[in-house]
Amino acid sequence: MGTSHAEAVSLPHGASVLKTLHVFPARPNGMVDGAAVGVEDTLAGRAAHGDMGAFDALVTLLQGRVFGLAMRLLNDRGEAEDLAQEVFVAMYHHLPTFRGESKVTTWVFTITRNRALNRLKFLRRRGAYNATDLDAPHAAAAMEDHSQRPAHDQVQVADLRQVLEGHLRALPDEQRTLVVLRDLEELSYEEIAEATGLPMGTIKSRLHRARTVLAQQLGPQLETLQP
Amino acid sequence: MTRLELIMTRMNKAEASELLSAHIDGDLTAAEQAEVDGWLAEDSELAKERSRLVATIALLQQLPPPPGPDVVAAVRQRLSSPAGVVVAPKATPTRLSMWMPRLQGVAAGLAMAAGIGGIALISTQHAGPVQVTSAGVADDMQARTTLVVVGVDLASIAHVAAAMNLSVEIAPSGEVAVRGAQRTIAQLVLQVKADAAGRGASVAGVLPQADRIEVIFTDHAQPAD
Repeated sequence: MGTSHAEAVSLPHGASVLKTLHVFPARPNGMVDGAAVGVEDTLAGRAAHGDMGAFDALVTLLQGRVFGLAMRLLNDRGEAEDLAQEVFVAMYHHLPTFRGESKVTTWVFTITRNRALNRLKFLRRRGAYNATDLDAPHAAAAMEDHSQRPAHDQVQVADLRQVLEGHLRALPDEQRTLVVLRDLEELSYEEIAEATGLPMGTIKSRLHRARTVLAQQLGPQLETLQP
Repeated sequence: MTRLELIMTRMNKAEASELLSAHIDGDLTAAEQAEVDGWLAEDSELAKERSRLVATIALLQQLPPPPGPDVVAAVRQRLSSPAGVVVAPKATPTRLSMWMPRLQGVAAGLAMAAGIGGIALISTQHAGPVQVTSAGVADDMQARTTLVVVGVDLASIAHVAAAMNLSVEIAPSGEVAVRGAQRTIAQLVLQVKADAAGRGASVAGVLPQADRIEVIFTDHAQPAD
């Protein structure tokens, strides 16, 4: 792996991970079998062959996104942290059999999404999950109905984001997953189809429904943001 | 194509509305794009709906990622522990505090089990807090059931299951969910039943016939399911 990769990766563990990246034989980002290969895929390939430095670097690269998805699906920091760890343990065990038919990020999101939804089912079945028992202290305020506010009562963008975060949490699990994967993680429709196993038409209609609900809940405040 | 045919084949407003998200994402066919463009040009209500969606998506894209922990060390620790069982203080006290009383003595129990060369369900006092983690992938279960156990420590079941490389989760209520291959869980249940019978305890319930299953071990007489 070349220098350009090392420069492109911003890692908390800086020196040691960058050193690991530098000692890889040159295998730059490029096209392999017609598919673009990202740094995550390269690291995954090396981790699959037992390179623990590459595995650590891969976890470091992906942990923020995995935790973010888990957090937004589970609404609980402790659960999300546990889940993120589980996802990477599972990733480690299954890397040798990962065929690379999808990007490693899509694959990891698939594991995260499946496990998070299973965990939600488990917690709800056990009565241990309450959608209003959110981690954010201002969640209740964020869930207020702002759609009835007069338009001239302009909400600052930061406040509106917080309101939106609350409404996002209240979406049904599948719709919330789609919004997070598409609008926050910026996956393509094809990648979302891989990660969720849903047909493309279902993804489009559910995503549209979710966005429409969010737009309606934000109400007149949205007008203040429009040019 | 006649004028009537054009009217008949033209997308109606509701259909155009349904495609607004895909229109914003640039994920329409050329024909669909042209139809929606046509509607947007002549229907201000639809155009306004699209603007609201654009603003919502822009806001979503501005949401900051939740600040997350560095899990590299924890993942490495899980990987280095046999069967995914981590004997360490739990990082997040919310769940630990709820099931810690049930987990006391498990480490000592496991050590004793290892010493006699087998697996025993022993509720022995006392060791530090332990954490049970999922050891394998268990995303899609084909069937699930609940087994009611009386006189057997649920946390011990969790640890034996983890030692058998099954996926284990402990609910705040103390109930234990075990997921994995039916045959492996059947071995676990046989072990539980054997141990329970020897101590005058009992296990009630029947395992479903499926390759991959989830079993909830509970000590409640009437499980929530």
